[in-house]
Amino acid sequence: MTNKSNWGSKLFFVTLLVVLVFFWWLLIYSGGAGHHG
Amino acid sequence: MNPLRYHPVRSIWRRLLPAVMVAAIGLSVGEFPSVAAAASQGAEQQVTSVGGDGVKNESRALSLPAPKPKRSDYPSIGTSSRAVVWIIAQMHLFFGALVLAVPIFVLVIELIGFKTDDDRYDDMAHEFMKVSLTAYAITALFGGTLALCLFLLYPDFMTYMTRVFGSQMLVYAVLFFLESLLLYIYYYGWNALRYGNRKWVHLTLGLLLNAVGTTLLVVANSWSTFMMAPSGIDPATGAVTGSIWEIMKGPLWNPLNLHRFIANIAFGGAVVGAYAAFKFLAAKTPAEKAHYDWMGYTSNFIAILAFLPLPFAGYWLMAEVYAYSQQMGILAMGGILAWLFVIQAVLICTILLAGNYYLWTGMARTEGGERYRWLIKYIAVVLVLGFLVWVTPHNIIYTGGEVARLGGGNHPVLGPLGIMPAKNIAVFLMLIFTFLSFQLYRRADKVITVAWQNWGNALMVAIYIVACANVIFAGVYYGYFTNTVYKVGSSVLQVASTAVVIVSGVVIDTLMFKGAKPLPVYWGKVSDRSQYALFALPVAFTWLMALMGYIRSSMRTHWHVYAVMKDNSPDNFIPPLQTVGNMVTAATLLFLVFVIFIFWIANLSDTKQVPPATDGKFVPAESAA
Amino acid sequence: MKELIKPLGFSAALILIFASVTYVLPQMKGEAPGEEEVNVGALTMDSFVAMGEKLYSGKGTCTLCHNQLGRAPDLLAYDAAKVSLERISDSRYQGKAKDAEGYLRESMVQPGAYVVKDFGKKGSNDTESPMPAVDQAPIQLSEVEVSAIIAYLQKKDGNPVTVALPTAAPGAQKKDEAAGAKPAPAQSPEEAIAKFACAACHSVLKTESSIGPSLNDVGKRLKIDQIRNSIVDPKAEIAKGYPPIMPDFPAMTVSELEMIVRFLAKQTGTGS
Repeated sequence: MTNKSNWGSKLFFVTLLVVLVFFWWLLIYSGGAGHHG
Repeated sequence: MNPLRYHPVRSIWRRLLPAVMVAAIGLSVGEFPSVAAAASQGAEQQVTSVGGDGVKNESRALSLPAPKPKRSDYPSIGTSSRAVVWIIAQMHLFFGALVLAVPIFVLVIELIGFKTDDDRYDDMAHEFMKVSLTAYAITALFGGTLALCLFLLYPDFMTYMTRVFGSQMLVYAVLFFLESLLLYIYYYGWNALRYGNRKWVHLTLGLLLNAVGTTLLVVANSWSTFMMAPSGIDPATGAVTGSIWEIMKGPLWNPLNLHRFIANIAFGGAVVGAYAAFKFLAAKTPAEKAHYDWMGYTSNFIAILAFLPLPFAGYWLMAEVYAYSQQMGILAMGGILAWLFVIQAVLICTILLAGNYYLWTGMARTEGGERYRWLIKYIAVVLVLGFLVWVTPHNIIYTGGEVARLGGGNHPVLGPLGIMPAKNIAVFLMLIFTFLSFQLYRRADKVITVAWQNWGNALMVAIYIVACANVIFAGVYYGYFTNTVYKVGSSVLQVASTAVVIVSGVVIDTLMFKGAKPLPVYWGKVSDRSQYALFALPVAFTWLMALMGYIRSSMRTHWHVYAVMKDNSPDNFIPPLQTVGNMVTAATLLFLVFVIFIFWIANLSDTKQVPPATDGKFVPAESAA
Repeated sequence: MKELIKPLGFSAALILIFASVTYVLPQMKGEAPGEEEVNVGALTMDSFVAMGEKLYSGKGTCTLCHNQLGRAPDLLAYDAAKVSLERISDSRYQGKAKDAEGYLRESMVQPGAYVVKDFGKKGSNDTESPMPAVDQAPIQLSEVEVSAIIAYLQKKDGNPVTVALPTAAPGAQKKDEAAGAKPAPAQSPEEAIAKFACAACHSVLKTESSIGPSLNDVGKRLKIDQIRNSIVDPKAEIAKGYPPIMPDFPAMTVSELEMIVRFLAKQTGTGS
């Protein structure tokens, strides 16, 4: 039960992780690894 | 066991909401790869598909070369098109920077408030968001106007840009829907999502808001960097040859992303600092004064903290410009645009002086500040000397007689101060000493109690001394005793030394402050004069932002898209400095007007008119005997 | 709201201080390179070299890097042609130039062919040149402009200019004629005679002049070849008793000449 009541913080940190992965993908990885041009 | 905890409605809501949030996240994150992949695959498919008559129909548009408009092809509305777009674009950039930056530090402040269970932080964060909300509408207004002006006044250029970027521009539009949705829920749901898990939901919304905002920033950045250093196209004709990723991810994209992300935070902090200063001066009660004094301090802290790493990000950007095109780089810093960097010196020194001055006067809030007062004059000396070195030009246009008296093209004493190494020494020393002001301020309101404090302080002093020595040595040696091409190498040591001072200062202080005895801080007990530093900061930031934006734009010289699409408009020349000063000033003053409007609106939303007397029996408070 | 006046005034004053800095600094305007049509036909060697000098610090943007600050060799500080020959004989040189002109041209359009020691891109060990090709964007000098700069670089140290003056392409020449650069040829013998003012000295076509021999009976006195020769080379044979002052007619076209000659051959003095 105490685990369940922490779902808010878990939600936040999971979202944070997802956001960071998203930006890593968008800024670094997308279109193929490494830099183009 | 409180039966209300297991209220059916709440438990259904509790089960549903995470699913909804995950779906929203999945949608927003999943949307980009699929839309973007569609855009890129679409682009590639278009290139290879064959139409019914054997001709590659869809690819024809992409394989078109960049337009070559003649002067007469440019529409005219009776005034300089460049001037119109300049002002509107700059206004959009000012407000865009503000509305992207504020949620970033609002989220951090909200987190701090949540962790420390201190309502002050939460209230301040909420108040900052109120300012941001009005600014958001203004950003959109200027953005729409900018788009209209661009299509109206530069149709050939926009034809090319829309051809190159295609559906990525639609992604930008869709992101705005998402941004608006998140912004309204985040702001209006503040009190509804105030505690416990709901607060975490609120923080998550804030996080998503920032993610969408940052995505908007980097998408728009790609248009600017493409114009400066185009990629994904045939350099000879301008025809699209690459995917949207090759187009977006040019050499200047990530440097500009980093620079704007950090600079936005500094700028946003400075603007809300002006808000706090204004409210401080207008405050009627000591409680209000204390609240806004504290808000001003927090804003200044954010502004200066974000400001410190900016030179590194700017350095990366210029280094990439030089790597892409030596010519473009030299034009900026050694050619016709070079004077602008001397003006930049004036602006940044204003910022540093204002930020430092605010910290120094702020030390009067605590008794602990007295200990460090003797250091202030040395910091001030370093700042002023640094400014003088930085502002010294390498050479100016002399008359023949002056050259004869000088004995050469450069002044024997001031000439060596005019080149980059001298300026690097000045800048990095100024940054190091600004950080010193910071450290002193943070120590002013506490008494350190850890046992190893003498060692800790000695270590900190040693780090300062070594860093300053490094900065001076690297600048002198690489600058004056080696070949020109190695000058750039000096910066690495200087950057590293400054970074070490900042990082180690933060780390050592965090450890040393454990268990420290706090001294009373009298918020609100600062002079009115100190608030003017909080006005100087955003004014200088704003003017500087417009100036640097002009440099970035002007580096393209007579090209819409550098080396690909020539600018044949009547305004295709680099304007003289006075014109630049006028335009930047006009944009800054206009921004000031709008910001005052925003502050006024914020004030207005707190104002409640006293209800009028209805049956004559009600006596208004003011007229009570 | 009155708390706003002082901060506003302060902010406005600060902004004006920043603006005033832009007023006191040197003012420069950067014009975009104009689309100038070079009238190749009108070029002399002097104007060609002058054009090169103007391009060197103008459209060519050479002085941006080639100056005394050390970023690129300062061509104006030494004998460009002499040093070019030194570069060619450097052991590291692997380009294709055989003379100073060739080296200068190669340096401009293929800067990567050879990088002078210590001037290469940082970290490339002088194998990569930071110089852009000047005949491509963004500089985009034309072949004539590149040649003009080479001519300037040769001339400035007193070295002989080996670059040939550009000539107009045949197409350009036809354009000139069609545009009426020369007046249209005469359409009749009378028009031609009037155009070249023969009557100023000769009695012809009902006019009288005694400076030169009468042309009214020239067909009887001279054969057609002799008539032609008198116009083409007047100094070759002077009629007895007359001054040797008949001028040349360099502007006369072949058709006009034949028209006049055939007409004069018919002037036999009868029925005039």
